[in-house]
Amino acid sequence: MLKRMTRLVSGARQLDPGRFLHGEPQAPQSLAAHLDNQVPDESPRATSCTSEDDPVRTFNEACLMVRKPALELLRYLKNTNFAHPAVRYVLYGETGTGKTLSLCHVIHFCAKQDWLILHIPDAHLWVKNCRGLLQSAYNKLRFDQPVEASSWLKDFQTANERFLSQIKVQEKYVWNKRESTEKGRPLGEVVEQGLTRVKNATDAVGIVLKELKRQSGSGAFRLLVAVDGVNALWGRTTLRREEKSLMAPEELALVHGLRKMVRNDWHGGAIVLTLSQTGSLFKPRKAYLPQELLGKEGFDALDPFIPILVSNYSPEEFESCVQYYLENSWLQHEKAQTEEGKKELLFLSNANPGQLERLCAYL
Amino acid sequence: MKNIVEPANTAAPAVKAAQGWWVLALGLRRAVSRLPGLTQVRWSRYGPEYRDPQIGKEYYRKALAELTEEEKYERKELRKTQLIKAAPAAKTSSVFEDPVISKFTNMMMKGGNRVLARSLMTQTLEAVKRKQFEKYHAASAEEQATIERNPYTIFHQALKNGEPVIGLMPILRGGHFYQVPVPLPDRRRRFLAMKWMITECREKKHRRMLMPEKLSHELLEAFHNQGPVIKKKHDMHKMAEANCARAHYGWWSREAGGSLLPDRGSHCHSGKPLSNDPTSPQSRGSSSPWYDASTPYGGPSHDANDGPSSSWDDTSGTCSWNEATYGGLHAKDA
Repeated sequence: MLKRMTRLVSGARQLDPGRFLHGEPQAPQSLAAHLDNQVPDESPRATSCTSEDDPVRTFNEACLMVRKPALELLRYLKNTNFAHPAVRYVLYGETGTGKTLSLCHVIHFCAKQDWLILHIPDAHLWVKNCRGLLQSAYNKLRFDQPVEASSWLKDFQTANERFLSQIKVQEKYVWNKRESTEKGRPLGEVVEQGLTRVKNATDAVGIVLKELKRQSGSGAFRLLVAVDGVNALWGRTTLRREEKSLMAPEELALVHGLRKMVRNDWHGGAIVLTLSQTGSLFKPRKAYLPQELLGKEGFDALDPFIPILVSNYSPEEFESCVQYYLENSWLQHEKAQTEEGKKELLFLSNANPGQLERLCAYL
Repeated sequence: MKNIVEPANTAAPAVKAAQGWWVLALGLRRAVSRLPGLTQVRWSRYGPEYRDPQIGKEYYRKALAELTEEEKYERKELRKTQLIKAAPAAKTSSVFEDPVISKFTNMMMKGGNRVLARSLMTQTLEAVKRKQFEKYHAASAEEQATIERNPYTIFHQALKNGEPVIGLMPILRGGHFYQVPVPLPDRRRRFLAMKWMITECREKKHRRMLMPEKLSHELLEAFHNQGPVIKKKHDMHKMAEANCARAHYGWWSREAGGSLLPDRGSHCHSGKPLSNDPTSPQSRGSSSPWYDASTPYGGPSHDANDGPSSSWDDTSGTCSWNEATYGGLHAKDA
């Protein structure tokens, strides 16, 4: 779940505006090239994230810790062969180990390399607590989610403005009697249409996904599909139809489109996925393995994939994290600076990044 | 334990003789010089032979060679026969533990849900810290040195600022209860500060506002000597000042030689405003330790160190006050 946001360094170097990672509630700072591409293991290790709304407020900067899983993934991405079908990478691990932030790191890297980023911050939000479900006009059996679709379109627009004018649609789409998008129009128009007419937002999302998949092989751009909490696509929903019967995820148009997107039948990019138990529905708390969280259907759909385990902090990483907190005076308790305090923090958090962050928040 | 059925608070205060026997029979801890007619509201099921548990890593980690003779004796012999009380579940040997925070958490607790109270407390400390960090980053370099970011210092200072110096006690004279200014022991002052803080945050907030948010706001205000808790403290001081003429109604004023404070009499005559800094009143109970929960609050608390208070006036109604009525009336102060 992307409650923990990437922190962007408000450095002096400015890149193109509009090039920030969507999904963040406020991201006024533009990306700075703080995280080097060829980063070795002894690179400056900055912090892990906090689960607050605006992380920039606490430290006046935003940093990620560079860790092994992310580095491994970056190495694979650097060596991708874009002629082959897209490879799926699945980040898995226990709660609070840093899967989402590793995903953010990868997205940041790809954004700097000018890839087109298709980022779904939390797929669980599409299968629970949705209001205003409509029956889809395109396919009577499916359901639209106007609110979720329009908010995603907005984020997509801000993240990839550069590409929206370059990519042209390859077929004509008729929205209703008066409006239609001709063939050859830029993709930005489809997005605009989805934003202005909220009823058509889900269809607009479907069109965007279809077009991107079709055109990614052409070589004009490289596509990164990043989904957090992908186990939501094959789990259960808590949404009900009018007859009060539960819906299956495939009856949602957004989920249907996304499932097609994470199939490896296209080339010219990569697919990075994260499993997440935190927002999941009807899954036990201790479950973290792909087989447990995805279920048989999901595992078969994603098979074959490259699993990448994200684990708790190693002793060096823990030390580095505590040092960062001390440098920024986040650990204000006088005992926290002593060796005894650090040992106690290690014991209480078990080097789990999420738990450590929650402990240090009030110390 | 003896098979005593009734707990202390159902014992009628009039049955002094039975009480006296009953107190002895239970073997209550403090061998204090009890005033006649005084029942204990807070009592412990442990007898006087029980000693407090040792909670602290340093005590247990000391190697045998380093121990002094008494400690060695204690370790080897006394452990076989010494009766030790059970350590409370809330007390840990953590380096981050703070008795004041623990006490505050206990006071915030409802229905024994200490998990919830503790989480509210930690969220409050976090909220205080975040607010201060925001202010810090928004401030200029000179101001940054003055901004305090440690939530624990803010918490302690806020509670210290909210402690009243002098309190009021209702004394029965001639059929009427008069509010008489009284020096408060340390623990009573700490209790009042915490009680006011919690009551303020529970009652005077918007229905949808959460406790950590409100509490962090109140703590920051009290830290800067503003806000409703400080106002309540000042109100109490003003009331005490207004009633200063009645100071001689209490027995403590007679013991101290006719006036509550050396300068109190002059204040009443000259009309100087009461200074609100905690310098003047000598609190009688200040020698008592922090966790002195068993001794009842009885104005000047009588430890074994005090001599018998011979100037106790038996003729007026004051001495026959007892915890039952006193405890109920004194709720006015809190």
